[in-house]
Amino acid sequence: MPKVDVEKLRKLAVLELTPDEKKEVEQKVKEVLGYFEKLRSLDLSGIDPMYTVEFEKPHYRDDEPLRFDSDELLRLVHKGKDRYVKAPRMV
Amino acid sequence: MVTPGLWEAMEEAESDSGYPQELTYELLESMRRIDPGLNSFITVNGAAVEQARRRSGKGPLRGLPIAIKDSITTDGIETTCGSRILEGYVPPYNSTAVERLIAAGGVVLGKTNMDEFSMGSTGENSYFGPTRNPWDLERVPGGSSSGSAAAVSAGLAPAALGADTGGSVRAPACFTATFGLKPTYGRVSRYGLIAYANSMEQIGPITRDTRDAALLMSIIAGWDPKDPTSSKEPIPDYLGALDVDVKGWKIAIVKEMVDGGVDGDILRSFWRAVDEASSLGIDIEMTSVKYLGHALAAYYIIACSEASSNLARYDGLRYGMTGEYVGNWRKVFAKIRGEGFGREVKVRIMLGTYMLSAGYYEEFYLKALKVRRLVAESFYRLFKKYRLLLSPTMPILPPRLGEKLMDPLAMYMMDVETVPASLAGIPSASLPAGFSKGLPIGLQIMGPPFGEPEIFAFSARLEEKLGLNPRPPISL
Repeated sequence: MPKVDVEKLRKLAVLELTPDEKKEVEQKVKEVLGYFEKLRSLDLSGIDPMYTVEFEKPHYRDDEPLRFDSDELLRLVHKGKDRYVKAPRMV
Repeated sequence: MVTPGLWEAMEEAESDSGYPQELTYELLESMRRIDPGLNSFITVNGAAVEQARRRSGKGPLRGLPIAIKDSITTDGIETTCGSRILEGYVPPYNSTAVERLIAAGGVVLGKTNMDEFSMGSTGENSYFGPTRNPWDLERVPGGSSSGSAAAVSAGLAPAALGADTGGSVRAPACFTATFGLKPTYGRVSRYGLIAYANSMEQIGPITRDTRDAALLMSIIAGWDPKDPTSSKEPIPDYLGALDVDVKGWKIAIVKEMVDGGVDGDILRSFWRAVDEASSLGIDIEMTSVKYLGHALAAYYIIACSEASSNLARYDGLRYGMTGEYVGNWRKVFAKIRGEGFGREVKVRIMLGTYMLSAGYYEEFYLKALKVRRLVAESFYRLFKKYRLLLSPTMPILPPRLGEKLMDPLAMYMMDVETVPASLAGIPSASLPAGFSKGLPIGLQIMGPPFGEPEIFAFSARLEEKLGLNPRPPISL
């Protein structure tokens, strides 16, 4: 059974957890990981991973800019000034 | 008033141009009376009656109202995905599926309740409270498209859209005795569908019967330049498929899906439905899908991994809920995400983070993707021999509220019959197949890639033969 460092995972996932939640999440994560264990023992060498369904190749549209009313999007922003989004301190 | 299905409503609207408006008004009125008990809607479209009037006579839907799962973006109507983190989010655009419904004369009736970010099989994991089953208010309606199924079953909407990742349309359709279809991956545009596990999820109809689903599919299916994963495969005549003769078809039952894990009452109803199917002149055999025993683990590893990435965008900066900016970005984002996401979402984000972290990526995530290929290829091979594959939709009857909630594995196990089709991207439907102790039982019909017409043809014949037309105790 692999070790679960909830504090490390929590940091990687950028999630605050209350002590109660931490306990509950840890227990649930462990339980589910235990179930996933049986997959680890399978020998699947030589099989290509299937990241997505492969019926067709993705159909990308031409790389042409589309106009979108950015004022509409900026209206959703809670904290901002003029046409800028205010973010918390980065460093 | 008995709420008609979509087709009947369309016929009514054809002869009476005031009908869509009347129906919409009636539904909103009834919702006030019935929905506090069911909790099937999160948001009601306040402009629905007016829109029904304006669109009356337009397109095939003539102003008729459709309920929309709250993970499907609607222009100007709050879209929460069942989460606190998106409370108050009013998107400035429509998903393509909704855009197409509107272009066909449809009206958004309201946004239906769901497990937060589609993470749940019972409909209980919603920030806005659990949805209840109109067949028994003490039981869950199935999830994650819980509200869409409960609303259609109870007659609060003539039809609905849900979305299915590992069974989120089929499970609630099964538990509420409605018809639900997860289309082939790529058949319906995902543009505007809030992402959970993007390599598997599809928008699909939840309706009173097969015909209504065929009708909705003929409107929402098709290539969309805004979704590169949407397919350019031509749209077949779904309504025409309803009249196709299924006599002489070869169909198989998946052995691993009718074994000891399935409730005895469900199996009895399942075999009765199979008997009815063979009386339609269908040749029924047993078959086996390789690596099926590993499908559930593979599905959850992939789904959680994709979720941990897809849900990274919720930081409270640009939309949805926000919070005070105290400390650096890590602290602020962690606090907003900690307050905005529910428990199950946190568990799945953490699981996904674990799977994708150094050292475990190869052991879990890559292995799951390899199992996915083995399961998918096993399915594709079987469809060279069989038109369709059958199984029960859910292995258990609808549980009581709270029964599965605290045990994640017990909840995940409920999806054992539905996730294989999701891994393979094949279409799969749930058709009401009977009852046990007054609770609905569903038959799962899986088809080859783009085999929706075959599903509709078989389902329509069997539905006719079973003659259930179910209405729950709580309904209009």
